Amino acid sequence: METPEPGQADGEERMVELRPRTRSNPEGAEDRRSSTGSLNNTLASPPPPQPAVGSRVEGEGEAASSDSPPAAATAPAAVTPPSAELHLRAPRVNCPEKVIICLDLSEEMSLQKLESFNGSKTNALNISQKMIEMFVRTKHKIDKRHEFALVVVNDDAMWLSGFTSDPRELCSCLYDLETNVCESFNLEDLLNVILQKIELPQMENIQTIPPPFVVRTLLLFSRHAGMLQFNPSDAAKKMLQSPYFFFDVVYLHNGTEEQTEDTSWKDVYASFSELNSKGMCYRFEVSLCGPAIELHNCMAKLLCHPLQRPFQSHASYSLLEDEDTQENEATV
Amino acid sequence: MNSLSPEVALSRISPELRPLLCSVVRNGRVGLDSSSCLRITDLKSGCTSLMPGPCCDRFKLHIPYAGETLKWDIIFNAKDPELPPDFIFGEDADFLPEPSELPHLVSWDAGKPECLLQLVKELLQQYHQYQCQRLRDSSRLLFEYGSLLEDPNYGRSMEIYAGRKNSWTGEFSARFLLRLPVDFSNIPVYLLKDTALDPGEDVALLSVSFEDAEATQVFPKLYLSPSIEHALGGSSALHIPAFPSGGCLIDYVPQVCQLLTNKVQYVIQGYHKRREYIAAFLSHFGMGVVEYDAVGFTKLTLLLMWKDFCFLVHVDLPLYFPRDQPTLTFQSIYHFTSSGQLYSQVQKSYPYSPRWDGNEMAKRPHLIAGEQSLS
Repeated sequence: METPEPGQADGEERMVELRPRTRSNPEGAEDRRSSTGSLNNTLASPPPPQPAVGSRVEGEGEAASSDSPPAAATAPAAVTPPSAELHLRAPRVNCPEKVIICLDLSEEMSLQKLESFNGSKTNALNISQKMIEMFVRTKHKIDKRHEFALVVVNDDAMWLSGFTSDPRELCSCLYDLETNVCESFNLEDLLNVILQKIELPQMENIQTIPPPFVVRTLLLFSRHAGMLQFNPSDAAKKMLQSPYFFFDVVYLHNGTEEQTEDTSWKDVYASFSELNSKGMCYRFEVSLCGPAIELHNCMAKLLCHPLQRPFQSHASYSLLEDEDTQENEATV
Repeated sequence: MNSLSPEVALSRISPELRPLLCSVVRNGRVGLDSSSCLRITDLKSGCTSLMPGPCCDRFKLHIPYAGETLKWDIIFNAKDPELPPDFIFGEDADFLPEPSELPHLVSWDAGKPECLLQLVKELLQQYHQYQCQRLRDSSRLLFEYGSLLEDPNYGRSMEIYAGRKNSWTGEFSARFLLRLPVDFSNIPVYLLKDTALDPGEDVALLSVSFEDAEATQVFPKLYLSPSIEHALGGSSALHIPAFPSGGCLIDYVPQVCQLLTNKVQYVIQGYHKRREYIAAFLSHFGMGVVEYDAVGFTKLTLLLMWKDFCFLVHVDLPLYFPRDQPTLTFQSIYHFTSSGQLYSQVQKSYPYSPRWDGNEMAKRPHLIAGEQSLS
């Protein structure tokens, strides 16, 4: 597959371009889904010419490119993040992940405002701890090669544990934490702490050769400290632009529309997009005054492997495609 | 005596002979069983102790053959390294190969490093003929040999060892080692490359031991190269039917071949079917996929949502899919068990048919997931 010219003008169109039909994208399935959601295209056309299964090619799960272009209709034109530039994507292989869980320990995390299942009030730290445990245990169950680390953020960031592939090791550091009043959020400090601990893979061909692992930062953030002061170093910029690094954010906000110090939570939330230059990271905003289930659901959506998950705007988890049918199924 | 490592042997052999020995210890595979290398022991010198070393010029070569190990003495002369070596063929005193039928002896060239290895191969061929001659002592076994020889599938890749007649009981025994013509080339690559160190090519060997001349005690055994054994599911892949009493090799061997070929087909088919299954799931649920095995297509995890309620479905696809049914595990993201484990429920007995295509299979768990989510 040829690397697209960097000067290609239409960045958005590039994003919906069909990915090569590869062993990691079987039958080009994801791209063949037409806008009507029908499967006819998938069934009707004969199987595309695949590289011989028995061919001894080096490289785990190497995605060999096929010669003939896919015959099916193009993927539905969906809204792509406007800030996304032309970035090469790694192949959709489920390589091991190194997940750095960054937990904000500012005092907002211990406000008892979240509504738990039984109606009682709980705080974000409590729920976060349970969710993180669910996250690491589930990821470990899916693939024992995944590794995890825990970073806590007060006025600066501190690396508590990891990398480890044993969820129990991480969970043992998770429950003895306390919140305190924090001044500002030093994003650069956090990025530097991460930079010191990781080394991103360098692959010769980004689009066809799967990396040995990817690194993902998962930030659970709640303080109201104004807009992000973000002046990344060159090294941090390079890390953020790497196709093997992802920075996902869950922003727990107070949900009010009031402007405090000229910034509302929406502005702060929007400023996180600066960390998402490739358009492939996930961000969620959850109100601290709402139901706790929202927070659980965000964490569940963050389980998805960064190389295999869709753009956040494309993601859809509904069990039942037809909304009307859903109403009928409500009777128990 | 323990065999010498190639490095040690090469350091002690007389320098003029080193290239000849090198191609034997480094590339030396001569028989059907290519997984074992040729080994060297008893490296000695025929020179006096006044001769400065290294000057070893004779050794024992251990050659795997028909399940036995032949131990041949190979004797050079360090003072005259241009000359071809002498051989002593272990205890087979009546093995007298015809020199004129050994091309690499007739035109021995000490300057060509592979000359010794080629000569050993030619000698082994003659040794095989010699062993086949000895089958004449048993008309039954001679018949077995003859019938296999005529079949082009097996006739060219056999090693036969006809054991000594037991002078007490007059009993005669033999072993046939056959290379089975099974095609392993289409086994999915990911199944093969994980096993450590598979030096030889992928091969299946059938060894059949006849403990008596009348073929009433026959013991077959299957050998697979390590990566093939792993790819076909481990040691269970070595199970073969017992040799039928009164049966003969020309009927039995094709049966074993067919069994292996079927296993290979199941594994290949399983891979393609799993791939099709996962492709269909991605078509249905692609926007909610958590992770899937993009190499072997053995597993897939989905995140599904019904109203505000999220749950996970882990799908595990077995090696012999679609014959064997996938396992579905439903997991809650909100709850843990009382012992702190993830709260999940395994479903193995939902409606299923191996004949459904990928799309049909993707739709069914859809409905089951619906039922599960309500419960």
